[in-house]
Order: sequence, then structure tokens, then C-alpha cells
Amino acid sequence: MIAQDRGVTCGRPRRRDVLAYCLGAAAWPFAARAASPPTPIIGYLRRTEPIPGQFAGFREGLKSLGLEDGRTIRIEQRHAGGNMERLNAFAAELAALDVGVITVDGLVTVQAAMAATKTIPIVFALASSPAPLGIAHLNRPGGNVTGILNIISELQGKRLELLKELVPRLRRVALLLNPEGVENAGMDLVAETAKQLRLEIEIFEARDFASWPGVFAKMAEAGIEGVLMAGDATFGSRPAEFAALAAARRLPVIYPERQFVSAGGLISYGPDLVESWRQAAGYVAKILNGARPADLPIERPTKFVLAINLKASKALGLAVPEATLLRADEVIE
Amino acid sequence: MNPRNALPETAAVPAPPPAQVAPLRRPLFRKYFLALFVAVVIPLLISGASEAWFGYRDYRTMLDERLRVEANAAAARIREFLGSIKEQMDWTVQLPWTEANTERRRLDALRLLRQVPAIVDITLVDGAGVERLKISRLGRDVIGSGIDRSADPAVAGAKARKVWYGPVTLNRGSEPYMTMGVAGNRAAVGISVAQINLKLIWDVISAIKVGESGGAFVVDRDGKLVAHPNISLVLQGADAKMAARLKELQAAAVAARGAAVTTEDFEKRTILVAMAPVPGVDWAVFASQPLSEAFAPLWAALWRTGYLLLGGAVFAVLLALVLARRMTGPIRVLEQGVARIGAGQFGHTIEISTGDELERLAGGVNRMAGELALSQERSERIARLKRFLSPQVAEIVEKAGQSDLLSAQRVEVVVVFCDLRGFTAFSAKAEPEEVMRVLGEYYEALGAIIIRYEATLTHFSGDGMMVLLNAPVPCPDNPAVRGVRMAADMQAAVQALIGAWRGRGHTLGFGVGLAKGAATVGRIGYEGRQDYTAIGRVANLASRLCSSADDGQVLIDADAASEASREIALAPAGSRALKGFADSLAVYEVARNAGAAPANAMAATATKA
Repeated sequence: MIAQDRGVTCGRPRRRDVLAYCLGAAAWPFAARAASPPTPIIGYLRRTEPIPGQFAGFREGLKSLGLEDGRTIRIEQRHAGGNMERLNAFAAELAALDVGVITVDGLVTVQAAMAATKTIPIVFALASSPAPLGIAHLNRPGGNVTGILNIISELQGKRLELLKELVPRLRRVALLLNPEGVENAGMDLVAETAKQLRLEIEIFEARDFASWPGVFAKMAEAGIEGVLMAGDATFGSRPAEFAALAAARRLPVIYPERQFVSAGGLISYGPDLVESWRQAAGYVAKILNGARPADLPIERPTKFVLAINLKASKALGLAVPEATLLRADEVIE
Repeated sequence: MNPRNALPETAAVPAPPPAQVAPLRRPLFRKYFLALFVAVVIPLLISGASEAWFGYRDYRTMLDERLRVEANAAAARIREFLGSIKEQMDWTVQLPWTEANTERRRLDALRLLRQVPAIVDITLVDGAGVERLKISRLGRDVIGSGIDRSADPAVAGAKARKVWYGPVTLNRGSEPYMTMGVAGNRAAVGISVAQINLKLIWDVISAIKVGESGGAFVVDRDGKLVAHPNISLVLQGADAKMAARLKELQAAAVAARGAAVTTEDFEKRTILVAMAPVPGVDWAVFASQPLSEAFAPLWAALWRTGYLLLGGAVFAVLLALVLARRMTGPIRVLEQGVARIGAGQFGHTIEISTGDELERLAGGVNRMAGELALSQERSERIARLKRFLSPQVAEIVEKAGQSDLLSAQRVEVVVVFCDLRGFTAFSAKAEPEEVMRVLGEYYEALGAIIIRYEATLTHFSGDGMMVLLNAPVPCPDNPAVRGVRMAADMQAAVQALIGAWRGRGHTLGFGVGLAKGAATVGRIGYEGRQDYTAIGRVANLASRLCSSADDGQVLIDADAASEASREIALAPAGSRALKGFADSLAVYEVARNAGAAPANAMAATATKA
């Protein structure tokens, strides 16, 4: 397997370098030869535009494991900017580059990469669930795909509950999603929670950045009092714009990730995605060292961050309850 | 005499070729070499081996101890992890349940979730076992569901034992979860039941390092891996085969009673593990270290010992070589020297300056060789003298060191000539063997008499013989008397032989002539063949007298007779004209009947002298 070959050559250079230094000048030809094996290439493929914090987390994770971009490894970044055709083309390009491993964000990108290669290991950092990938068991994925789940849809019920806790008068809630994404599973959970909390759910679709103002106008028209954002990478590429639009319409929104809250959004609940990317680096290192992705269990996140922006809540005239504050890991004032 | 100075030329004689020396069965060099080598190497080996063995034992004990300490430390940390969760949960079971304080209890639970990330959800049950509150990280919170939880094992367990630990289960077949129940001091405060995601022990377990690449892992009572630095192994979930192996390992560790056991890890490396239990949850914590790494310092020490041993052995070889060579080198020199001296090179000097007994021995041998040279020279000289002197005289001459006695001089001597009558005719007709036999008997008889009288035999040819008295050694008594007595004895002895010969059919006679006078004596001849003889009138006279004598007659000249007649009865034998002498001379003979008895008496006194 290609990945294993790469893996063998990857972990060694440092140790060999050290050995070469120990042996001194007499051994320099060996050192030169040892340093020469081709640097493993890591493909980094994203469906959207770059999200700087997450890539930095990935790079840092690699560096902490001795894999430094430009020195012991090379990272090939490809951002499709939300364009599916480009995404598929990039996936094929990375496969043709014969990279050691392709790291991707969510399900859409995993599927694009899976279409491009059946052999190169694929590590995802943000997939919501393994089911759409045909993976039945988390502990033994079995194919060339493994990674970290963000269980974004599994938490939608919890998010709805948290939004209701923050906005007690809430009745009409919009579920905003991108129909092009496949991260929309969990609709049942949303519906069930809504029923228990006596909420009405209306689905709104937004395909790209350009359609956002129109969607918000429609929401206002429909008398929506709060928004539950579904997980989709297109939303994450422009968090500040989204938060500004929501603020303009005086709509409380609960987001799946904290970057929206730092960009001015109201509240978010979900796993720390920067941490997820750091974890993905661990998978990459293991694969480069010879591990088979089929044997690497898919991990669920263990740490969840609730972030709340008190400025935004104040602007909306919301009194943040004690319980919400107690749950909050991060409070922006 | 120092042969080194005296005979330097002999030192140049080449040594006998070594090829003639038979090869030794067990040469000294080999013996010394082996003895010295063994003397150094055996103690070295013994000390090296014992050091290695004790080093290994001590090191193994130390390793066991270290791994046990590590395992105990790791177990303490796991206990601490669980203990801190329990402590936090205690906060939720302090107040009795009332309708009014539900919201307060909710906030307590929310606080707990914030404090303890490992808790996935928490359920609060009142004193009656009814669920009042459930707070979750993932799912919806439920308040006042009213479900009866009293039969729940966690609730029942916590009620009975204050703290209850559930079995480790796998969430979605992957993440290890455990339920933990904590009861308050009073029944009214109820019970708190939490789901704990044990994946978070990873933070604890991955921080534990044993040596360079060793670590710790946790196994539950069913052989399920609870925590391991490689989280993938934990998340891979239940595997009956691995569970069996881990339980086996647990049993082996218990059987080893604190000592470390060797096993194979998940990456097929051989590792050394020690176990410590975690009470309450009934888990086992293993501290492990790869065997190669654990024993690396010991191997390094063993290699060092090995190199030292090798160095010691090489040193022993060199030392043994040098010492054995020092020991046997001089002995060889001695051996060769002795061989040369044995071959007659008495001038050879054995050069040894080791300052020890060997040098002394060489000195002794050198001195011995010098003495041998002297003694050989002497015996050669004696052999030379014995040719014309009787052995006693020769000894005297030698002892006196008067080899110049043989030099030419003019002295008064008594010359005796004798020969057989009819010998020419006899030798012509008799067998050669018989001739030689007769001559042998004849000379044997005469030789004994000559030796007895310490006379000097100058020469003999055929049956004739010339004997000298008073030269080169002067006689202690009157040489004329001595000569006459000897001549009479000779005559008597030969007459006895003649009788015997006659019996064998040979007709032979014997005559003796004796004269006294001055003669020139000395050595004549050439290098390698020299005789001592007397030249002068007296020799001619004696010879003529002998020729003139009849069988059985001893003719004596006047000078000798005048001296001898004082002691021996002589009879005038008339006056004879002798060839070479102008006048006829008066001649005497030994009275025939007065020969034997006094002659014997005379001989006895002569030998005494």
C-alpha cells in the first residue's frame, strides 16, 4: 500500500539524522542518502474557501508530531470555494499527485475524494456521521476512509433546546440548511425536540453566500423568531457576514461552531473544530507511519464548547439565564 | 684460566645445526605460555562472568522494582481520576429533595458537567429512587420525568455501597463508557448516576512515560482495554482474542507476585510489564517497557565487560608471550651453549645477563667448559707422555707440570736392549696369527715389568726393544742396580714364555744387553709422531751387548756392572770384541741362579717408592 511505503520513510529521517550526527563526518554519505527519500505529501482538500484557524490547527498538530510542513512533509492545499466541479477536479489532482494521505473537511469532500481514489487513505475532520459513507462500525471503518466526526446533526436537538433556553418566548424557528450538503441528517431529531418544546420548525435553504440576504428577508416575512443553523461548510466560510445579516434582522441564531460567535454571532454549541483538525493530524501521522486507515477507529468528539456573545444578546434584548451562563465555556462580552 | 680470553677463536665456530635436536613433546615455551595465559585469563573470565550474572540479577530486580513503582503510580493516577469524579459528584447529593429546589439542583448538575468533561450525562434520583433530573451534553435535558430508577443497578449499588462502579461498556461499539453511582450521606439526598466517557483517561494515561518509549495501559476485569496511549487500540473495541490474552497477562502478573513479566505488545514487540490493581473498579494497570529498551543499559554494560575481557585476554597473551620468551629464551641459549660445549667447543661462552639464577647457571656452565678445556688439554698431554713413560711416571711428570723434562739434555742413563733369538726364522714359517700371538705374549710380559720398574720405553720394532732408565725422570735409587734387576726379571719372564712356546713347537731364545753411560736424551720425530730416545755410545753399546748375548743371558758393561755388583751377584763373561768398538770390552752377566728372588724383593721396594 502506498501509504505504508510512505509511512516507513516518513518517521525515520529524524532518527537517522541524529544517528548520522553521532557517527560524525565519516558517515556523511549515509546521512546524505538518508535525508534524500522523497518528502511525503499530504493533500488538504476543502470544499469551501480557506478557514484559517482550522488549517493552523492541522499544521500545528502535525508539527507537534514531528511533521513540519516544508521540512519533513509537504502539504498540498486545495480549496474549491464551494464549487463542486472544482472540488472533484482537485480530488482527482491530489490522487494523481500520489499523495500519502488526503485530509478533507466534511462528507461532501470525503465523497469527492472517495470517487477519486480507492487506495490513498482519506482522513476527514468534520464529517457529521459515518452512515452516508457506507461505514457501519466506528471501531473498524474497513476501507481507506477514517477520521473525526463532528456529530453536528446529533447535536441539533440540544441546540434547539439551548436556543429555547436563551429565548424563552421562542415559537417559530427556522432550520437553515444548504440542500447541496449531505450534513442535514438529524431532521427527525429536530422535529421530535421541536414537538417536545412546542416549537414550529420551518426549513429555509441557502445554497451560497449570494443567496443569504434573500433567505433572511424570507425568514422575516415568515415571522421567524429564531434560527437553527445546519452544518454546512458554505456557512462557515463567511461567519462575520452571516452574523451581521442575522443581527440586522434581529434574529437569534444558534450556530454549530464557535467561530460564528467570535465573529459576532449569538450562541454556538458543538465540538471544537480546531481541536478536531489537530486530532486529524494524529491520524495522518499514524498513517504515514504505516497504520492502515481500515484499522483506525473513527473518533467522536469528546469536548463540546458552548460559546455565547453577550454583546449580541444585549443587542437582541435577551436576558441570558443563569443556566446558559453555567453551561458556557466561552463568554464574549 | 678464563677460556673466554684464552680461546677467542673457538667462539667463531658455528653452532651445531638445530635440525639435529629432536622436536620436544611439550616445549617449555608452550607450558609457560599456557600457564601464564591461563593464570591471567581464568580469573578474568570468572570475574567477568560473575559480574555479568550478578549485574543481570541486580538489574532485573531493579527493573522489576521500577516497573512496579511505575504501575503503582499509574494506578494511583487512575484512582485519582475516578476519585476526582466521585468528589465532584458528591456536590450533587448534599441537599434533600424538595419541589422547590429542583432548579438549584439543575444548576448543580450543569456545574458538574462543566467541571468534569468526562461526564456525558448525569441523572439525579431522589431518596425514593425516582428520577428527578437528567442533564446531558448531547441529548435533551429532562426535568421531572418521574421514572422509577430504584431497580437500576447503579441506584441500588450506590444505595448499598455509597459508590458504585458499573462495568465498562462500549458506546457505539467503540468508546469505553462506565456508569458511576454516588449516594449522599442520607437517603433523602438521593443518588447521582453519571455516564463517564473513559476515553478521557487518555489524558492521564498518555502522560505516563516509562523510560524512553514505555507507558501504561488499563484493562478491566473482562480483559477489555480501558485505556492505552494508542487511543485507536481502545476504540477498536471488544475483541475476544485480545481480551483472552489480556486476562492471561493479568493472571501471569498476579502469579509473578510483583515481579515483571515478559509479553508481546500490540505491535509484536517484546515488552516487560508489571501490574498494579485499581480497587473499586477492579481494573488492572500495567506499566510496560520494551524489553530491548529496558535491558539496553545492561547490554551496554555487558558489552563493556566483554570488551574489557577481550582486552584482558589480549594483554594476557602478550604478557604470557613476553614472560615465556624471557623464561625460555635464556634456557634455549643455555641449551645451545651446552650442545656446543658437548660437541667440544670448550671455548664457547654462554651469554646470559638476566641477573637471575639462569645467569648464574650460565656462569657455572661457562666455568665448567673452561675446566673441561683445561682437563682435556691435560689428558692430551698425559696421553702424549704415556706413549713412552709408564703411567705412574707420566702422572708424576704431569702433576709436576714438568713437560720440559722431555726436552733435550745430556744425562747419565742406563740403556737396556733385548730381542728374541730365532724370531726371523720363526716368523717366516709360522702362521701370522701365531706370530702375532707370540709377540703379544712377549710384549705383555715385558710391558708389565717395564711399568713396574718405572722405566722408559723408547721404541720397539719387531721382537726388539729399547728401554731407558734415569731419563726423563731420574731414578730414586741407583739406575744401574734397577736396570740389572729389571733385565734379570725380563729374562726370567721371557724364559718362562719360551718354555711354553717350546711346548707349542717354537724354538726361540731371548737375550738382553745393558749399558750405563752419558747420553743425549730428548724427543725426536715430526709433528704428530714423536718418540723419546737416547743417543750416544751407551745406546750402541747396549745394543751390541744384546746382539752378543746368548739365549738366557743378560750382558752388562763394565760401568753398570761395577755399580750393580754391589748388590747383585754378577759374573764376568769375559772380554768381547764388539762391532763399532775399537777395543774388546770386559763384559759381565747376571749370575744365572741369582736372578729371581732378590729381583722380586727389589720390585716391591720400587713400587713402594
